[in-house]
Amino acid sequence: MLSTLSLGVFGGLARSASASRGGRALVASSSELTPADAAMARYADGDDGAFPEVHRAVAERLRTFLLRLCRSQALADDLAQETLLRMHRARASFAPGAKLLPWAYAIARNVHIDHARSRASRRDEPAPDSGDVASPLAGPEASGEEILRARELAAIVEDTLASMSANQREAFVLIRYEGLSVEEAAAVLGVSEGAVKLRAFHAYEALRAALGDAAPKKATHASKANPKAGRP
Amino acid sequence: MSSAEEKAREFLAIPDPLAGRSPARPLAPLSPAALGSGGPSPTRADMARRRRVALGLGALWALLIPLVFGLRGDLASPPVLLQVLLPALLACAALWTSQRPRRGLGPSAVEILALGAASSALFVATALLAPCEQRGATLVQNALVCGGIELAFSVVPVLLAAWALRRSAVVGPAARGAAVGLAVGFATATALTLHCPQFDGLHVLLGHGLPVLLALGLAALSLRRALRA
Repeated sequence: MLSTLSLGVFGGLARSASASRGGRALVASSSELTPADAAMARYADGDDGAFPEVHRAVAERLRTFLLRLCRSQALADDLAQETLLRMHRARASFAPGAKLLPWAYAIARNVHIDHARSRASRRDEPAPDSGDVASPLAGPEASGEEILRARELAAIVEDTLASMSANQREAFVLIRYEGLSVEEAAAVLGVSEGAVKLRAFHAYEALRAALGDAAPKKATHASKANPKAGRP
Repeated sequence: MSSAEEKAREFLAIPDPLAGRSPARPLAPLSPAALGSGGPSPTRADMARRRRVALGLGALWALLIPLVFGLRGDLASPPVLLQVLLPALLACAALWTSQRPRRGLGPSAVEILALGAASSALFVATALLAPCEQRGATLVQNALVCGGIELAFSVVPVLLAAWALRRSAVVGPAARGAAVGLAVGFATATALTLHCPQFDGLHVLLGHGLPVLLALGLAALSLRRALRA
């Protein structure tokens, strides 16, 4: 029942995304390759000059993705550098015709998991601070009240994401914020598409419950104040 | 608008806590020293060459069993040929699955589980086509000898795989290691069956089949770290 419901939501997500969004589609048509994909392919074939292009294409997105997972800007910077280094070392594993972003996200996820494991083994290290992440969802022209409300929303979303399981958080972040298709997210996480849909749906339900009935209105309000709000 | 599309819009309306953040300073490019640390980064061509070398050496290594201990005399018999050819085909299938690109991120754990289950079932069914007459101490003793040889001969190809496939699994390194172990196990079982003259079904199951599963477990555990990107 739950699975059917989540499949319906993600089916609708695909339709509404493809119908309404002019920008990067949430459920991407994954056939066409970008210049960054081609640059990574050249780099994997030994063209060292292609790495700066790869770096430009993914560095910021990796940092944002890692910031969503670890909630500390400084740590996200370090982990993003480590991810880029591992991409360099593992360049031969980039398959011909593959897309760069899912491959890079999968490596970033490995880096984050390794970091979390090593932190767990060194119990004396403090947990990352969460103060770096919560930030206004409202734009510069928003009123003080709007900014305050947007900050509250951001804090609720952050706390709820932090409280859910890593599996659910990763699935939700990859699909909702990083703009990967369900298929790509499944490949990044190494699970079936059904499992990813279910995880993202559980995360969505938890967030919806936390935000309450007024969340869509508030989010719309915040989105009006800042057109970028709510987009990956 | 359908209810699913409405739900999808609600999904998209979950706000992004990072939206509207002032951009941080750009991430510094990696220094040449950092890029050079940990040795040179192999290209696709280097890795393809390594894979070919490892495959050739691994096959030669497995073939040492019939070359050193000799070929069995009844290879022309169709049931015996089936016992030899099936694990060879399963080894090829496992090797092919382990190298499947699947959107550039390798085979999924589900695919590898399915492969393991299907190939085990086929192997068991084929082995049980032969008469099962060995019992007790004889069965155990013969199975231990063959199983020990097969497992010992599986170690070198697994080490070769660790070298040839280093940092090649971005997702599911243990699953890919298991697929490699399955391929190694079936290839070694083929080589052993080329030599071992015992046609008994239970012997083939315990002495030639069980070590395949042990090789799978050994490879999944030992390659997990080496293969992880």
